[in-house]
Amino acid sequence: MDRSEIVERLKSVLVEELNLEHLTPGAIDPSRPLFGPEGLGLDSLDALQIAVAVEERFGVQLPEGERGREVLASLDALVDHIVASLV
Amino acid sequence: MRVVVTGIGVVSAIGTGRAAFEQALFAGVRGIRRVSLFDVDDQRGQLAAEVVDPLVVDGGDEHPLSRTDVMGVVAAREAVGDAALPEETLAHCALAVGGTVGGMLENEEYLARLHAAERGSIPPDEIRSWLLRHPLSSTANAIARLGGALGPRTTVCSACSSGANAIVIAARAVAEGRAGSALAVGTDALCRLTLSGFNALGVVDVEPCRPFDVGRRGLNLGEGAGALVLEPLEAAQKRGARIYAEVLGWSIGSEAHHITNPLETGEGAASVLRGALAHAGAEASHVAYVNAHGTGTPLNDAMEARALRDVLGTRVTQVPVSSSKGQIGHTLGAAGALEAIATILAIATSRVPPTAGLETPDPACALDHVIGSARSVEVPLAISSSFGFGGANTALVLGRVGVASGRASIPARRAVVVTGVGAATLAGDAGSTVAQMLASSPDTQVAAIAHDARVEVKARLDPARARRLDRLSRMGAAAVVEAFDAAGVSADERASSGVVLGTHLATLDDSAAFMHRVFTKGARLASPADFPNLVLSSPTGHATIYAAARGPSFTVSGMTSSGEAAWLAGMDVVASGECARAVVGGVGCRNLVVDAALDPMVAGWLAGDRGARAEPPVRGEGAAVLVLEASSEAKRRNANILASVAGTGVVAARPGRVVSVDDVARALRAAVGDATEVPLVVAPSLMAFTTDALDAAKIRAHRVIAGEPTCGWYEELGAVHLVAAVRAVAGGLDGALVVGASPGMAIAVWLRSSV
Repeated sequence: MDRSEIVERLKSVLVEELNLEHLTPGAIDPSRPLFGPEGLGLDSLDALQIAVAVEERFGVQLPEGERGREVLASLDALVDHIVASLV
Repeated sequence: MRVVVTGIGVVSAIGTGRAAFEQALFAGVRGIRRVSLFDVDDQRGQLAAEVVDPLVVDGGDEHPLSRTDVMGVVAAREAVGDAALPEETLAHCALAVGGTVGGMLENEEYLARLHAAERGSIPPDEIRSWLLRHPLSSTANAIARLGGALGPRTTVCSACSSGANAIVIAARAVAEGRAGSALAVGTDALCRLTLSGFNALGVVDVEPCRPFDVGRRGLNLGEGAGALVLEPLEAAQKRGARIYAEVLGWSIGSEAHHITNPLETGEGAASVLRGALAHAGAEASHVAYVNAHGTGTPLNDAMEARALRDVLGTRVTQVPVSSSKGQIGHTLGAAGALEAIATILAIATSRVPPTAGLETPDPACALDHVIGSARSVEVPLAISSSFGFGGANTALVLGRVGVASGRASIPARRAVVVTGVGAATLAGDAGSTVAQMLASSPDTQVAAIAHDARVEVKARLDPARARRLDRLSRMGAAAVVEAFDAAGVSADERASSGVVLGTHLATLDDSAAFMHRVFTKGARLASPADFPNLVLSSPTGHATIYAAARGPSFTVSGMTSSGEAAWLAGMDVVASGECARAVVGGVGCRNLVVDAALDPMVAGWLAGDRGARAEPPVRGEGAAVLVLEASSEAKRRNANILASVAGTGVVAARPGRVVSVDDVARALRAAVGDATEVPLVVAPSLMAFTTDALDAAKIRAHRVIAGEPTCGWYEELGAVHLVAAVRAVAGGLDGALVVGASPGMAIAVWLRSSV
């Protein structure tokens, strides 16, 4: 699975798992922050759901603590982590 | 009337029975150990405060009892025995039970099987017997049958503040003279669902928890039951009862913020702490001890310390604070009751228990912590706090008799009117739903079998704001917003409005899906986002968040009279002056369990075995709500008054029996007073039962609507009846009488035109 494929899959996973019915996967900018008002507006509960979804669908665990927050800063950062873990 | 506690009963991980609990509580004993009730190998956090004492209830063989039921009955029996209430008092003793899981422990595997489409493989009889011990309200029925409190029953769920709200409901009934005595019980058993769920949220400490500690990592769940007998001070003194403490005041509030996280500023918590003190007629300077919610999670403890510093001001350094959760765990629906008991024991014995597990207080949680061992200190007045999912907060003020003015200063009940209605059913909004119901006649009631129909409300909600809401909560939120809008309640006024919704089983299918996932994929992959939606208080919590309503909010559950039960509980909150108005009603959605139980009935009807049923059984779902408002508030803001509440009647079935025609007749009579004719009666689906009850009560009805409407039958349908009756009165009828019945309760509501 190449990087762009992971990006596209993750976008759909986000929309589906977090019920982002008001967004279409294509409208999600991978460099935009996932959390906070200037980003997608996600919060800590979404972060937990993303972690479970990534583990289930990609077999990749997300780190805990500060490193976990870095990995979830944006879709790009999350993809970096998944790509690095899959090699 | 002043309300005092005269009986206590306890089941906990550190001891069963008040005496054992008291000894262990002040000795700082911890009951946290590896769970043995079920396999926890795949759980991240495997510790909990499990009850290890044997639990035996004689006389409990007739109906299946869940572990939650058994713990509740054991605690209730002890409290009733402790109070030594006379038999004739007990016969009318009101009962309020708080909880979150009901029979989940026993039924988790069933649910997972049902989800895996093994519906046909489980005999319908088995499913029906299962339904007796699963619902939250089954505990109240078990306690009435085996514990002896035979007055009206209320089952309340507000997640982790359920036990505290059971005490409020019981205390309010006694304070207002509606009950000569009341029994409040909080009870919850451990189960896989809650352990997996809290683990999924990452809030379980893998070690024994450390509330307020700088190194705290989360909570440990617990289980148990707390029971309290409440009665008027005068009655207790007259019969020479032992008085533990007085229930001086309380406050219930909603944060309208987030389904799992508290408002970090502590504003929500501070608001109920202040509200409860004001209700008690006390000042912050009177507080001598706080039994904190203190879960041990990083978010809760910092938020709570902030709220306490805010409310207690400079006195915060002199008020000892402790959390009992390092000893008994977080017992969820039992927590509010067990921790109120810990607070009462502190008042009664002039000692405050330590926070077990706390060694180095977090500077962010700076308070006068009780570390290591109990402290001897006079406790004339104390606070017990409970904060639940969805921002459901409750604070209780307890103290020595007469230490504050307490409920003595609270005025009489206020007149209540209806100012708005809302609905989301298979027929649509309130207008369409009512039009369909009021147009019904024996001919038009025959409808197509809508056995698979589902209510759709997507278009009525903002998708971004509604993304966390499941189907049930979406129906509820759509109806609540419609009702607020119809009543012309402004955004500011919503902030002082409560929400009280009734539901029987809430989103049972989602619990089934959650457990199926846990069983097949492991607890590690349990869904954190789905978990908070599985508690009965969730539709109410979501509605408060969506509608920004910050008044008293909680869910009540009463089987097929859940909507009517919500009406009664919500009306009490408004009539007592605790909020200006509350949206009350019922929400229910289709689920596999009830569908499976009804399968044979539907199949039989289709095959021609119609018995007394003129109509096919139509399974429905939906939400219907009303704005109940203090008459003075409605007039002040020039609201359009649709109907006035002229009377209510509540009658509990006799122990071990289901509601009879006579019970319903007595409820009807209590509601209408001396009226002999009513223009309209809206009743549950059994026409013959309703007309027999009307005959027995000697009430002549000009028109009776009794039957399943084309929007289908579901357990919370009574709320649609209430909405239809209100619209009929608003449309020109002089009065309408609503009848609700469940196996345990008969409820009647008498509405009159406001002119």
